[in-house]
Amino acid sequence: MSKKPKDEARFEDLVAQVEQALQQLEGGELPLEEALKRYEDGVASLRRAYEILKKAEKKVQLLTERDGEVSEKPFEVEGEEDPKKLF
Amino acid sequence: MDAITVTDLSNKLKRSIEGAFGNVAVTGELGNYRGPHHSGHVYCNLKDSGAQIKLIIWRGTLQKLRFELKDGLEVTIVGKLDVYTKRGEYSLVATSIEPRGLGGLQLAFQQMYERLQAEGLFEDERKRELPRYPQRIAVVTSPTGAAIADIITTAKRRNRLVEILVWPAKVQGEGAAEEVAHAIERLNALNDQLNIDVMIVGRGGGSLEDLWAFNEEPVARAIYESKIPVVSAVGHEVDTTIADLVADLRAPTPTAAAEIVVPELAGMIEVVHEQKLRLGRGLRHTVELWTERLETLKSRMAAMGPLNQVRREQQRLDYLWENTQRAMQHQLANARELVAAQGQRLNALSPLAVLQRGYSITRNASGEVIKEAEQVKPGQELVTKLAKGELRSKAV
Repeated sequence: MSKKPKDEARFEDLVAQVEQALQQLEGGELPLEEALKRYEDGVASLRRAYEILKKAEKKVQLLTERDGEVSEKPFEVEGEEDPKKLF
Repeated sequence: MDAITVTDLSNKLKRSIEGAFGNVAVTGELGNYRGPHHSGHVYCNLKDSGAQIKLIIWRGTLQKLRFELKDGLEVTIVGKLDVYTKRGEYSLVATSIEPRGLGGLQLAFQQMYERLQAEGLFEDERKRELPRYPQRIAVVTSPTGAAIADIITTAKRRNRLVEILVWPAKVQGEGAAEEVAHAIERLNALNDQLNIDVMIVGRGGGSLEDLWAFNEEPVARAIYESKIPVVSAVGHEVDTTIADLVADLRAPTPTAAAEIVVPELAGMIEVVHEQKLRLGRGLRHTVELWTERLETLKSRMAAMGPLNQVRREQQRLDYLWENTQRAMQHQLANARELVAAQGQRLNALSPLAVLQRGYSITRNASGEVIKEAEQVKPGQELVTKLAKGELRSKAV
């Protein structure tokens, strides 16, 4: 099944990280190299956020569980399938 | 007069009474109700101010009731009279029971509402917060209903990047509540693999009877126990179910659920654009601040002789300043452009781009930027960052 890799950051977290960098940076009291570091951190997080936004369209998946194992298969809305057959 | 046996008399009575009445509908109040016997049958009284009659409710009849019986409940019983000759008793055997005033389903709803509210299942304090930017959304509903089509259409229109996982469940009829509850439980149990941010649980419109599964206890408990935030979307705006009350958020319809849960892609792009601009401004602000301080320092030290250190510092600031200016120009020029190009462009915004013009940054082993000769002792290792690659060197 297609899993979301554990190392893939969530957009939500990345935006929060940038926000944190911004709050320190916008305080204006950081020493220069600290400010530079915050800027670089922010840019790195932003780049990952942009990567998420550049991803291809996601397909709708139908989940089925058998013996505790869950699997996914593409789901078509128009499908006239009997729900019982899906199991 | 010829004497007859007790049995004969009782049998005559039985035939005559049972024959005379057939089906009767009787209103009264339940009395002496103590819940089902261990056999599952109920033996209590039906009474009013003037009389009472024994009432029997067989287990099969009892199980079909959606509401709970209790002492004092005003009901209309439809049933048959029964004479139990062995004990000389007559009773009413219920075939159907309706509460008076409210319909059976309304009463059942009210009873479930009161019970779960007393347990705190609807408390605002325990509601989970919805993620602002969910990337994986699970939907528990019928795979063939109107709800799933509405949710998918709306979600995709708002944000093509959101991933939707459908867990099919029967949403009406026998066993529907259990299937919906099971789906919610399994999604939680499997969430280490699935990484779902939020789930929508619901179905399209229908009669109160059709929506009933969402008023049943298993669904309410499953939503309550869920670690994944749950948005309910049952029927139309006017329908409020127990599931809606337990859910972290109640959406009036499945379409509205998708609108609430799925953030618009354009909004997400705007958020990162805004952050990018603020990053540039923030750095510029810091550079300006230090330039100002340095200017002050310079004028104070002007009379005191060598200004080498100050000049070096200012030179560094000039690089940063110039670069930030460029960055800002880039940012403003780029702001309206499509996301596709943004990732690469960020490179150009970095002060590190200044390296492209031949400058370099030297750091010591612990990564501190070398700004003064005094920071370096002979023999110390230095790393100089160039536009391409790094130089490692040793101070002499």
